[in-house]
Amino acid sequence: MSDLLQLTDTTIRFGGLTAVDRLNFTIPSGTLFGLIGPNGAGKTTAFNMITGVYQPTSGDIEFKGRSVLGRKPFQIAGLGIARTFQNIRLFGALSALENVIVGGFLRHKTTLASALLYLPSAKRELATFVKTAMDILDTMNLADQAHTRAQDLPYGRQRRLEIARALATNPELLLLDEPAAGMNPAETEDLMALIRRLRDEFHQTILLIEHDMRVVMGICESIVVLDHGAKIAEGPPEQIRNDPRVIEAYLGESH
Amino acid sequence: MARFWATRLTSIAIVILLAFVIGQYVDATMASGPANIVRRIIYLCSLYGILSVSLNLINGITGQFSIGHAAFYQIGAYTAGFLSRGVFTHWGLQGPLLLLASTVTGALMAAVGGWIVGMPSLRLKGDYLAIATLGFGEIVRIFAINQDWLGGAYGMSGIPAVTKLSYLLMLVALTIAICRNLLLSVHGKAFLSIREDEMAADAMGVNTARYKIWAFVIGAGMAGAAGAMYAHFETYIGPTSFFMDVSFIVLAMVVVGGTGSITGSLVSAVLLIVLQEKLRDLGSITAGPLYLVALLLFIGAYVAAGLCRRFRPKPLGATGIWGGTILFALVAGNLIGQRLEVISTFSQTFEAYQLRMVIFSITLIVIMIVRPQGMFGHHEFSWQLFARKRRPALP
Repeated sequence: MSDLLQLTDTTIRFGGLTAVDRLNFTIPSGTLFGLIGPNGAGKTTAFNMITGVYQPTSGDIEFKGRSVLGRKPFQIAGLGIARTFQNIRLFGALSALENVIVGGFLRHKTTLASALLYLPSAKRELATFVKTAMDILDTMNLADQAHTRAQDLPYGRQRRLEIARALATNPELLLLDEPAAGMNPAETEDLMALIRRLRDEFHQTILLIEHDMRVVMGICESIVVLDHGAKIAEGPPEQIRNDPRVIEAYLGESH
Repeated sequence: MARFWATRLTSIAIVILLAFVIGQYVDATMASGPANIVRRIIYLCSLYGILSVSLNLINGITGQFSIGHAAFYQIGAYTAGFLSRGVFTHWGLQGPLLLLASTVTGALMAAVGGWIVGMPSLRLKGDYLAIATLGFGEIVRIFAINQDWLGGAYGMSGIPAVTKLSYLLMLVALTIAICRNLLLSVHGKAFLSIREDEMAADAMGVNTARYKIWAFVIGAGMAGAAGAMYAHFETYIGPTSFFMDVSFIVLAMVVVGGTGSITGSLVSAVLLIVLQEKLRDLGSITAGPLYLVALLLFIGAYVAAGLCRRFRPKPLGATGIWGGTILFALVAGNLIGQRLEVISTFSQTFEAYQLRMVIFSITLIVIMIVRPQGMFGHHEFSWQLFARKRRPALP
């Protein structure tokens, strides 16, 4: 197992606020890795640095041994990092199928000119993209609503469609930002089973942000806990569960 | 493969043939007399059709709010005007070849303009981008006023009249084909994704910066080609031909048609041009009926809206209520209004053309209230509407 992603002393400051402070962790290939912490701990900020939305003030982020600093989000997507968003950001007016097709965009081989002329290659390419996208929708149990506009899908399905779209980029590392947020317990259960399947059947490396500790405990092999931008604990779930600093961060000092 | 090219070449041949036949017919039979006005309206519909379909690529499909489209139209027209008089005719180019040279160079120059406007669009969004494009439009117009070699405020006249409706219709077809082709490709989905959510598109690996610039370049190029055809149709162009209101009308066409819909842009371009031109010859209107019709329409709109809310009728029923109300307002307003003409204020007459823009604007407002998503929404015309069994539309 090789290391896929490595954060070294990654720090970002917004004015006087240090949102993430000297964060260190390493994600080995093929693992389901959890990043948890109370509200405002800096989890999503860490995601945004990994995906190039923010540039770290100092420190380094390496993906497959190469620094990703200074790259734009679309370039990082090209390296093989895909993500979902905490507040769902689907292409609302496009169908579920079209959303997943855009996810596959990186695999396009035709030029814009051949698309404008609708050459046979462009026509064939869309057909293969539709096929791949339908397969992914099938895996995610969304195929029956492939032609529904994303904004008209029920909430739980929108969350799953976002994962489907990210998977369509064929990522080596999948970042999920609170995929269970706003879901009821039954939906959460299904989602967790799905995420576990992605890891077991498709050997997908996943970094999962979750606000709710119970959710990650069951499925992650390794967990990093953030509080006020700094790492306060790292290890397997049993160890995290009993760590006094984690309990303090979540429940307050009196406990 | 062979079948693909057979179908492709046949459809191109059919389009060219149709454009040629219709164009020749209109040009031959409507060249003089009162029919000439109809011919002119057909030309304007085609030109504005190209403008709105091309702006739809920038505004509707890629979601970059641009209100400087007249500038690209003007760049195309001025390039054609300047080069055709100064260069192309010296090379001995005439007729269709001259038009082709002008159209291509006009499109290229406008595309360069589109690239220049596209650059700031990387940093600007929404309202800010709109203001920047508006500014660009004004810069182009004012630049032309102040350059003597471009004719200054007098503009350029004596441009060879080589535009034929056949060629113009072919350009319309080409514009539509390019936009439709784009939407049927993976690249087209990328353009659409930028409109829907730029950050998410970026995260999916779409180079949003590059695609936004391409949208401006392609859209501007099409408008430039239309400008060149306009120059060779009108034979005179000046800075006044490209006021800001051209940009606004084209924008209105895109919005009224349904942002993102090629069909909508085209249909609303035709509707708005016909409306605008037909309103010119309404003759004179007497104040009495006018005021009363307006008043009754105003009250009637409230009544109809209230009825619809109360009874929630099916679409056909709602159309009936609105139609009945409007009909009642028109008939009753006219009949009673004529009685009122004994009072002097009500017997004044207006020339209808004075009210032209008022009626035009009210029409736009009404359409936007009744159908905020535009006439076609995001939908396109499809032959499948006539098919007995419907397949789900291609994505």
